[in-house]
Amino acid sequence: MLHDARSLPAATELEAQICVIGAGAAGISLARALSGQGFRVLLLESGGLEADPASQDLYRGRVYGRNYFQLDVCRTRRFGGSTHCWHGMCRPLDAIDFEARDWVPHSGWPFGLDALLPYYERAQEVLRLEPFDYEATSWAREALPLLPLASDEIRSGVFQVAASRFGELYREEIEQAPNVDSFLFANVVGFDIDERGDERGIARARVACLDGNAFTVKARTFVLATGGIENARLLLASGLGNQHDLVGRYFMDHPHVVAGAFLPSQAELSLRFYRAHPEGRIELAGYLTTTDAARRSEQLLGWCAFLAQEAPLPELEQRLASVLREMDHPGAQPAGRAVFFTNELEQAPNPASRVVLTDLKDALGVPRPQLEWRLSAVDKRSARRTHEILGRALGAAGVGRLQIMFSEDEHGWPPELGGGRHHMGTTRMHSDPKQGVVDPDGRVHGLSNLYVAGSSVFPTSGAANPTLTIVALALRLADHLREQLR
Amino acid sequence: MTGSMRRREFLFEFLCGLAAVPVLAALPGCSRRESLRVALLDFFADRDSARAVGAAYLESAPEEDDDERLLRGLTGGRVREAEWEALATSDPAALYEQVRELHRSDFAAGRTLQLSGWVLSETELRLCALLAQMG
Repeated sequence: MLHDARSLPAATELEAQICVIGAGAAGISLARALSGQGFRVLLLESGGLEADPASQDLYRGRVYGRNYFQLDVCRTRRFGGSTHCWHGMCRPLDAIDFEARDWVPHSGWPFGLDALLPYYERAQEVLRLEPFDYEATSWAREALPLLPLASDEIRSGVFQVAASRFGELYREEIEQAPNVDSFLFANVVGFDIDERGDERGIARARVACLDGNAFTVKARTFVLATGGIENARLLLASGLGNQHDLVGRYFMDHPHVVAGAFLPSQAELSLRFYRAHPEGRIELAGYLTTTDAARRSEQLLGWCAFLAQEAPLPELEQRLASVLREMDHPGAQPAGRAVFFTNELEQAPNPASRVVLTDLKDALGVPRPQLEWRLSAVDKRSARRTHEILGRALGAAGVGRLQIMFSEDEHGWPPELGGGRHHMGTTRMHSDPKQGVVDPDGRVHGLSNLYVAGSSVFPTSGAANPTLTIVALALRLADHLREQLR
Repeated sequence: MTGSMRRREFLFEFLCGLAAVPVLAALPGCSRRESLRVALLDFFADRDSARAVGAAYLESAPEEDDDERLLRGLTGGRVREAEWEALATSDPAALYEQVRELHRSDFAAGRTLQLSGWVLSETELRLCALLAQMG
């Protein structure tokens, strides 16, 4: 059932086995996976079914340091969460993304891709995607050819694209789930702690509505699924999980930057595979990325590049187009336009990149967050080197040339560099409480019954948009919780 | 470009009639080395574009503005130079295929240079620069 929390009698105490806080991609996936079981699940959502400025304002915070989006425009605070505003780009992390890589400080997941594969396959259905197949060769065909890169350093990959809006897709299912009750306009503002000997857990969540109503939720297990900034914010504001000063640190996004222009060696080169194109019920979009071998040998972070807008050629480039044609394809037509690459980069985990609390408070009295997004020399070196490798691969294949727009210094980035609104890492997962906020199951270290879901648990980000992994991890957590309650 | 280099170019063009006739390598009076130069300069059909790219490169790398150095850089040594000299007179098409092969292998071997950020093979840039030197 769906309920309006504002209509609950004041000081009500709701009870359930599992309380999921946040009805976005993670929370709804979790609630669906737990529906039809023999226990009660509460799903609390801060917003309503529609966008609401007052609820949205609870996201507001400060941005300090590197330019970033205003925090209240990064997310959507309503049933369905930020699936209301995403582009639907899906692909799994690569196997190497899970490894502890000695050239990436603080890298390594507590499990590998194999452990997540069954959940990725199930996540495909949740996100209404095609079957789990992300090999570019599986989807390419004569009319949609791959670039003929005979390279052991650069390969093609493919995103499946379906902007599934969870609020619309799953509202009815949640409404009809016999054991799931979802409360709208219900904001968790704090927790009461239960201490029993050495065991410390959450006794109840304190919940407030913007109209002044307030109630509590008592549950055997709580799951925080409010997003990469809000998860950290609520833990920091509640003084939970931060015994090693890790909550809010290691904030990562995927730096997005146009840092390369591609000039084909001939006008006839087909790039259609790399533009979004329909495939069954979804779209596909090809990209270029580095092979695992190149990432190891060159000590690179993850990266992928999409085609962006085309541009007419300035004079030197017109001349160059003619030269390239003669070098690579004599007799062909020279290209008349260049095309820019938009790069999605992996950001190395960085403890100085973080979410902290400010002295400002929101309408419910919870401290507002401040985001300090910081990139490092590791990120820059990797991005620069990756482009050098891409430039060589494109030239060696005779498909064209790359113009690198990065400066060579360690920290300089093009001014237009931005994030992807992918908030990751602030409650990172690690089996060692001194290195992670949550354990490999997603449970907050030091607390017996508080779990975190969503991209805040990612120890590293790869260069894959996070939603498919968020959903896969939520399904994995659901299996764990079902097992716990058995 | 130095005065002595310009004089040498002038003499060379006088001897070989470079600008007017594409395959002049076999003309009497051209040394094997000069024949190679002629054949290489004839690589591009669109010479104006190659010359413009070469001039931009020489402007950014003035130390390369030396025809001997460019030719040496292109051939990479005496062995290939001799082979190319022979092909220049006997089979220019095979010479051009070898140039293209070298150009492709430049990328794989990391023998690349940048011009306004463009990652280009040493071969293609030096070939253009050689043409630009002719003015």
